Order: sequence, then structure tokens, then C-alpha cells
Amino acid sequence: MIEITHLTKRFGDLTAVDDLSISIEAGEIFGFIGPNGAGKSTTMKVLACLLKPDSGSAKVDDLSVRAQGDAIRQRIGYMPDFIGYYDDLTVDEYLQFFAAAFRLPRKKRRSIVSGVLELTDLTAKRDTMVSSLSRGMSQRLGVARVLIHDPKVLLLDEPASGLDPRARIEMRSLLTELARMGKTLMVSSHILSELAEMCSSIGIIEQGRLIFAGSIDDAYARVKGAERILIRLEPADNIAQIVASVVSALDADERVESATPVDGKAGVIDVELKDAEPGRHFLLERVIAGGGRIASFEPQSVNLEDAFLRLTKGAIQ
Amino acid sequence: MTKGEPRPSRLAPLVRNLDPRTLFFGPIFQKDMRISGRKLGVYIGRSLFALLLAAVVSIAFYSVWQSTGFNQSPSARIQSLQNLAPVIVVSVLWVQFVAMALLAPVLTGGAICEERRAQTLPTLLTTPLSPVQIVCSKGASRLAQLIIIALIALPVLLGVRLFGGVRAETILAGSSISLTTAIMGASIGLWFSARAARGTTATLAAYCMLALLMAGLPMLASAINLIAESEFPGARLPDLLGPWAPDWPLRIPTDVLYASSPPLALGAVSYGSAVGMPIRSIWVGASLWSLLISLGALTFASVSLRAVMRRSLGAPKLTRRQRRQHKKAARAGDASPVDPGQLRARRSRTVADRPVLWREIRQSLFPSKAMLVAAVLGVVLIMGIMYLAVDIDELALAMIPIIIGTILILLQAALLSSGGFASEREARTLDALLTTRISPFQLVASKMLGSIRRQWFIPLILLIHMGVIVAYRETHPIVLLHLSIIFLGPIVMLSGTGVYFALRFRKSITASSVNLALALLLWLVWPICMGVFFGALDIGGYEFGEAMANFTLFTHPVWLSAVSVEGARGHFSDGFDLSNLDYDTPSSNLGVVAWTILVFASTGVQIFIGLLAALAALLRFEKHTGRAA
Repeated sequence: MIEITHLTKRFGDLTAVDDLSISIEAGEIFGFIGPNGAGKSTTMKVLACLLKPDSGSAKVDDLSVRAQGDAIRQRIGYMPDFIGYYDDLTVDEYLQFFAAAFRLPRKKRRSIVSGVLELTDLTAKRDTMVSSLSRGMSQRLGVARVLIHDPKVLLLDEPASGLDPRARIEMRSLLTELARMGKTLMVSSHILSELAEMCSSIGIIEQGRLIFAGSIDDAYARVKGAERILIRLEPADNIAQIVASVVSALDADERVESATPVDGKAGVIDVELKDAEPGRHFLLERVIAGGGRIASFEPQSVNLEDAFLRLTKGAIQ
Repeated sequence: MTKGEPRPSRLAPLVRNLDPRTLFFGPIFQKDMRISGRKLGVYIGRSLFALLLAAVVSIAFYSVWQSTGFNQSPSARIQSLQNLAPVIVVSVLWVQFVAMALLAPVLTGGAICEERRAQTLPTLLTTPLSPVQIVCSKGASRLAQLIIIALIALPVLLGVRLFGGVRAETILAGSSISLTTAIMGASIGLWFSARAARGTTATLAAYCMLALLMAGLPMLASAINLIAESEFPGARLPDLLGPWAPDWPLRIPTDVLYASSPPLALGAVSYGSAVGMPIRSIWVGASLWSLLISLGALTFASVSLRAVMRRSLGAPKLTRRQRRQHKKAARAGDASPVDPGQLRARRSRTVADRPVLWREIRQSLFPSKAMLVAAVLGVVLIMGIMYLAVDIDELALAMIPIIIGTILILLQAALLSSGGFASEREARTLDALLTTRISPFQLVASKMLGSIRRQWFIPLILLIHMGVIVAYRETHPIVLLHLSIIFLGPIVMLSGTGVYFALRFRKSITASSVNLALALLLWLVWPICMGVFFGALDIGGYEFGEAMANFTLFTHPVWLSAVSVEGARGHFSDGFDLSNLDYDTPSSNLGVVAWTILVFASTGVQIFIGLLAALAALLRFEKHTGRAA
């Protein structure tokens, strides 16, 4: 559905997107991840025909953004990271405005607006002025706006930004529902745990370059060797000394990547093993040798944040 | 505080807040100056202004040197220069005065609105900076740009003194009046900026207030004098006041009347000294009066700033009906309180097929109906005073409102048209629009038509005013047609250029300023240059000068309006006869048909230029967005 090939976009000396290639299948929820200034919004703006690529190609539904902008606009719904609103309109008028902008037949507009309001749970706010909506409601209205012409592809730039936990959960379920309806979603977000729960594939971008693209399982597999284990020691009077002794004993082992006291007084140590290290028994031996008595031993599962932190360098441009 | 510990002084924070270093030159001033210092355009603008002034003076000097010929004695040449120098000084002073009076509200009108729109004002209000410091620093940073321009003009003006024939006091007085008027305009702009949602609204409101102060106060003073000296028994003011009449004379002295209005004061400084007017008291009084009004405006701005922010961030202001609904819901013991958002609800309208145009033509010039009513009442009050004080057959009754009104129409057209696109960009709605199927043509045309439609108020007031005079059969109704056509020209032209500048420049304030500068160049600087070059210097001979004067005046809306009003005057008690109408132009007197053709031709040229500018805007928009119309 979305095919980006060797896309490059420059702003003067700054290369915002550098030789980016991504392929997103129809019906996928694609999570677009990267630090601030990585080039996510620029890529989305190119797909939304708001920016022209300097080189490479970008296609939506087999239509080129360079030559077939009008046809693409009919197929995409783009929600920018900061949604501007006409504060002199009601919610209903705002949606009617965009329905007319997409040249939907006048007779059908009211029913389409009602349907979209229902889908986004905004029916009760129909006659409310846009300017008086809360942040969560505004974001919902932003989603309602991009759905008004029933596009095949939704480009959502930070749709959950600034939302409280309840509103984030509601937004997540709304997006999942849209995917179930057959839409292809490209979603950028900094809240990686949420992307992990709803995305079928992800792309990680840094300094305009694609670092990783594939399924979330692939991303985990890429960092799976680096297993983390949280060791909790039993309380003791000299717990800080014991922790220091255990940490130095663990650090001395070549199979351990790092051992870090999470909380010295509580006796918690975060141990990271080297890649593909199958054994665990030596950890117990080292802890005992260091004078510690184990209260618990918890292997930590890898999450998307770990994968993101491992795959990116934290560089920004 | 423990017993015996000295109470902290309440005066200390006040004194600290009023320290000029923090009041005017605090962090906001430094930030704004740093930002403007980074812009190349600021330096180019200042250099161009200095070059323009230097060029005017040099050409004048060279022309006099040439025209006096080599045979003339040095004393004859000096005599010519002495005659020319006052003309140049007065022209430069007037250009400077008008430019500063008009630019000051533009520069400050958006100052606080921009902060509020960028959502940086609440952050500023959480710092130790007081609202007074915020307002004054904003004003100082914007005024600094104007003061630099005034300082650029000063050496040129003082240089002209070398020619002789110009008093230093004239330059000092003119500069003082210009500067204090700029401070007054800037302060009033800030006051409205603290209250209005948009910079253009604030600027336009500031212009209206300035017009009221500059023209309304002298008119009021004149009206008082007229009533005080009325020849009708019992109609004199002391008779009307009866036992409450004071002992001192009720007549307002001439110098006070002049000092109450900066343009009158500058007029007195320019020409009054020749007829022995006491100019020192006038310009000092005018400067002090402007500063006093500035102080009041800054105080109002500071007081209203926090209150406005509190209102906009807090609960919505409910109408009486909404408050009743709210109370009713509370009495009914409704568990869920009435949603303020719902209270702000209104019945949704049906959007038309051209949504941008639909929204544009629904945008009102006035933020609320109450403002519209207040504006109408204000106009009715001023006109009422005029109708009472001046006879219906007096030319001044028709002419003064038409001239002031036409100037306001030009200012309004220059300002309002550049707001449409810029406000889309500032509200970050343009990206959403560009992802729809709305064509660039539809977008540009809708914005232009919307801005033209929003400018109905002042032309309508002027036409109603002339309609009243026509009803008294003191003017021919053809004037209504002429004025309607004349007003349309600059409105369409400046709307077209405004849309172009709004796409050319990122900020609405820059677009408005450039559009206003274009209007000033066309209808103020150019006529003055024509006057100096072809009138005072007689460059190119009489016929060429006359042709240039005709060209300048025939495209000048203020002149066209004035001549239309004057030409249509007469007593039409026996019916409206067109054959007696006579329109006075520099070359000849025209009949009504020729004048009507001239008015249509002039407006046609301006509309053509406006459409060309709109086309340029469309091409730029297409190039910028990569979309075809």
C-alpha cells in the first residue's frame, strides 16, 4: 500500500530523510519510531504530498506522490503532529467543512459526519465549539477529520501526544478498530509501549536513515541476546557493602556485559548478560561468592523501548 | 513574620517594577531586539530609507544648482536654496509623521496576540516579570525600530539646514510630534493587542482610536467653540448651562485645540510659524498630550493582560441564559455538572460546497455583536455632533468624514487582506487544507473575496453619511455611485497585494506592514515626491509636471473622493440636474460624464493591479505547494 524507495529530502544543508526505503502492506499498522528530528514527520509530509522529495520515490496505492498528488489526497488521511483548528466553528461544522473540501456529495455529508462522530465517540460534542474541546477530544476530532472521506491510508503523526492514560487507551482502541476496518495506518509515536501493543510492524529511523524495518518480533530478536536479569538480595545491615562486593564479582565475569546497582540500599542489581549466553548458574555462584543472599531472581523480558534504545544511538539532527 | 521583625516594604517591589531598566529593557526587549537583529531585511529597509531621503535632498540640491544657471550670482543661488529647504524639511517631516503614526500600531498590534497564539504568554506570566514589564518591554522593542528610522531622518533634516531658511525648532518640533505620536500609536496598539484575538483586529481598532483622537477631539473642541459663540439667543453655552456656567470663558483656546491633535500640531509647526502662531506651546502641548494618552493606554494594557489571560485559560464566560441553564442543572441535582463545552455550544450551520469561501464570508470584522453595536453607536454620536455643529450645506460636513473615511478604508484594506492566509498558517490549519481536494485557485480566490467582504463597514457609513446630505438635496446622488466605485478600487487592489504578501512572508505582521508600506508609497510618498520634483523644482517643464500631477491624482482615492464630493455639491431643490455638475482637476474642469469615465478607469486600473497580484499569489502558491490550479 505504501512503497518508499531511496527517498531523500533535504532542507538546505540538512538532510532530513536520507535514502529511506520502507514497504507497508495493506491493512498493516506500521509504527514509525525515532528520536525527535529523526525525519518521521518529513517522511509523512512527503507521503501526504505536502513536500516534494529531492530524490527517490514514494508511492501510495501504486500512485506516485510526484505526479498523482490529487489521486493520493483522495486516498490518504493525514493528521499532523500539531492539529490546527478553526476556533469559530462547531465540531459538526468543522467536519462538514472538510467533507465539502473533499467534494463529498452534499446530501451524504450529514450522514457521513454522523457516522464519523459515532466512530470517534464525539456525537455528544456535535454542536460544541471546537475551541472549547479538551486535548483528548481535539485529538479525536483530528482522527474524525482524517476519516471523513473514508481514505484507505491514515498517516497519523503523534496521535497520542499529550493525552492522559485513559485518553491514550481510547485512542489506541480507536486505531485498532480502524485497522480492523481494513485501513492501513502509519503511526508515529514516542509512547513505544502503545505501539508495541497495536502495531504489526515497525520502522526505526535515526538522522533520516532507516535503522530497522520489520515486525516487532524481528526487532526483539535483534536484541534478544542481551538478556537482563534483576537480582534482589535479602536485607542485611551492611547491604550496601554486600551489593558493591556482588557487583564487582559479577563485573569480573566475562559472560556478564554489565552489573549495575539499581538501588544499593534495597539490594537490587540489574545484570545484563552478553549476547547468546545460555547459562545462568554462574550468576548464583558469583552472588554467593560476593557475600549476597538471593531473595529473588527475575529474568527481564525485552520490550520495544529496549529494542529502540539498543538500535538507536540517541543522535539527533 | 516574627514579632519585632520589620514589615517588608510594599513600595520596594513597585519601585523595582518601575525601574526603567527592567520596565522597558528587560529580557523580552533583549530577546525581540536579538531576533530583529538577525534579520537582513531590517538592515536593508533602514538603508533604503536613508538612501531615499538622501536621494530626495541631493536631487533637490542638484536641480536648484542647475536651474539657477552658472550666470547667476552665489547670493541668488543661496536664495533659491533657502526657498527650497523649508519645502523639503516639511515634506520629510510629514512623510516621517504619517509613516510612524501608521506603522506603530501595525508593529505593536500583534505583539501580545502573537505571544498568546504561540501559547508563550502563560509561560511569561509565570515568571517574575509583571504585566507592566511585559507590555512595556514589548512596546519598547517594537518602538526601537521606529526610533531608529526617526534617527536616520534627523541628520538628513539637519543637513538641509545648511541650505538655510529652516529653523532648528521646526525640526525638533516635527520630530518630537512624530515620535510621541508613534509612542501613542504603539501604546494603543498594545492595549488592543492585549484584548483582541488577532493582530489585524487590534491594529485596525488602534487606527480607529487614533482617528478618533486625532480628528474627534478637535471636532469636539470646535463644536464647543461654535456653541459657545452661537449667535442664536439662548443657544450659547453659558445660557445653556445657566447657573452652572463657570466664571472662566468656555471657549477652548486655539493653541489647546491644535495641541489636542498631532496632525494639527504638525500643521501649525509646518506653516503656523509663518503667520505668527505660538508653535512652542502647541508642539510641547501636543507631545505631552500624546505621552499622557500613551501612559493611559499602557496602564489599561497591563491591567487587562492578566484578566484576559485568566478568562481565556479558565472557565468560559457564560451568558445570562447559559448561567440560568447551569443553575437549573445544579438545582435538579444532576450528578454530572453541565459541561462548559456544551454551554459554549451553538446550533451548527450547513457548510456550503465551497467551504473556504463559506467560512471566509462569515468572518466578521467585529469580534462580537456588542462591538458592532458599540462601533455603530460611536459613529452615530460623532456624526450627530457634526450634524448639530455644522450646517448641512457646509462643504466641511461632507468633506471631512469622506477624507478621513477614505484614509481608513485604505488602511483597512492594507491590513485585513494579509490576515487570511497568515492566520491559516499561524493556526496550523494550512497543512490540513492542503491535503484536501481544494484547489489553489479556490483557496486564493476565497481568501481575497473574504477579505473584500469584511471591509463593508466604513464604506457603508460614508455612503449613509452622503445619503443624508443627498436627502437634504445639497448634493447630487451621482456622488454615491462615484464613491462606491472609488472605494472599490483600492479595496480590490490592496486585497490582491495583501494575499500575495501573506504568501510571500511568514508572519502576518510582516505582510501587513509591507502592504501598508505599499499603500503609503503609492498614495503618500509618491504624491509628495511629485509635488517636490514637478511643483517646487519644476523638473521637465510645466507640461510634463502637469501630466505627472494628473497621473498621480487620477489614481489617488482620497483626491478622487474629495473631488467627487465637491463636484456633486449644489442646491437641488428643483430636481437633480446632472448638467450643472463640475469637477475640478489640475488641467481642466470636467463634466459629469468625463468624470464618471475617469473614476471607472482609475478603479479599473486598480482592480487590474489587484487581480494581477492575486494571480502572482496563485502562481507562488502553486510553486510552493506543487499543485496546479
